[in-house]
Amino acid sequence: MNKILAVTFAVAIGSFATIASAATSNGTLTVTGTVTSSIDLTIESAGGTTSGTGTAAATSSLGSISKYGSAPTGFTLARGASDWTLSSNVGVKVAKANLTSTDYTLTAQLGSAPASGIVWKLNGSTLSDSAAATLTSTGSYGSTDSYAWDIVVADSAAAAAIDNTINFAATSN
Amino acid sequence: MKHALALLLTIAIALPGTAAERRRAAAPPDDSLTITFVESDSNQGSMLPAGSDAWLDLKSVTRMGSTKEKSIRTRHRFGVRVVRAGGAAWGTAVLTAMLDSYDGRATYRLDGRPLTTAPLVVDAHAAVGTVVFHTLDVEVPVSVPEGPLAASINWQVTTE
Repeated sequence: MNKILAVTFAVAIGSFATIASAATSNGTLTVTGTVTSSIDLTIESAGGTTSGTGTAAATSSLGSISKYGSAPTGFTLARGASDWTLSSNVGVKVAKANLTSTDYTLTAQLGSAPASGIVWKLNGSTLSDSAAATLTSTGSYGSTDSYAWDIVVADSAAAAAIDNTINFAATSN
Repeated sequence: MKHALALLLTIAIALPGTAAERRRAAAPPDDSLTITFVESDSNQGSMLPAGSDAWLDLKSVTRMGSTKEKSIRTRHRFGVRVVRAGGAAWGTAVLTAMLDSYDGRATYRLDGRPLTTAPLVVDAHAAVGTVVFHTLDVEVPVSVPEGPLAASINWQVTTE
């Protein structure tokens, strides 16, 4: 009797264990994508009363300028025999992401033709609206490089606005 | 007494048809569980569910924000539903996830917790039949060269 009961009990426990065992199921979430390289140019500083520094679209206001007046904020004024020059600097920073390139080429070009008697210079190069001037071909990523910015005004230039835009372009090497 | 029990066992063995019917009647219902993925209205990437699997394509991952950021972050929201065979919606299950394979070019966080090759309990009491939404954050350092990104996340559901 005892043996038979023991067997019956064992069978019952075994059946219970089978029903209570945990079941598992799997699923897979596959993630794909493509990392794309990029570079980012920002104007970090400039002479004049600036706004938008630290972005790619900064503005500098020089206010009213004249040969015998005061230099605008952040500029120096040098008077020549037949012209005068406002000098300052423009700080440009180029950052990279997911890019193996170690340096870049930076160019600058005026957005429109300069007013008669006005010459715009960056890093000693005269700017125009027809061709880009190369400022550097070995720019270092992540650091702010400073470029000399000169505006030469002829004494013969008409009293008028000299507004213009300098378009910078960085290309990874 | 011994004879009586022996007789009972003999009768039970001698009636296989009846016993089989009893077993069929007493057999537990198929309560196996499966996982399904549900796309949300996320605008980053696209998800293509297929059975218990799904493919999440992040498409192009590129830095759009500040240059001060050291990594690119993308976020995708999607739903996971534990389904019981037959469609019955009762009970709960344990839902875990782990990185099955990945290229090491990104880090993955599920609901804010890092995914590794060790199982992460996503939901200790996932309600069967209910869609629960989760957030997957993928972070790619800007120091990683451009190229493809791939990872496989294994999900497991276990009955409690």
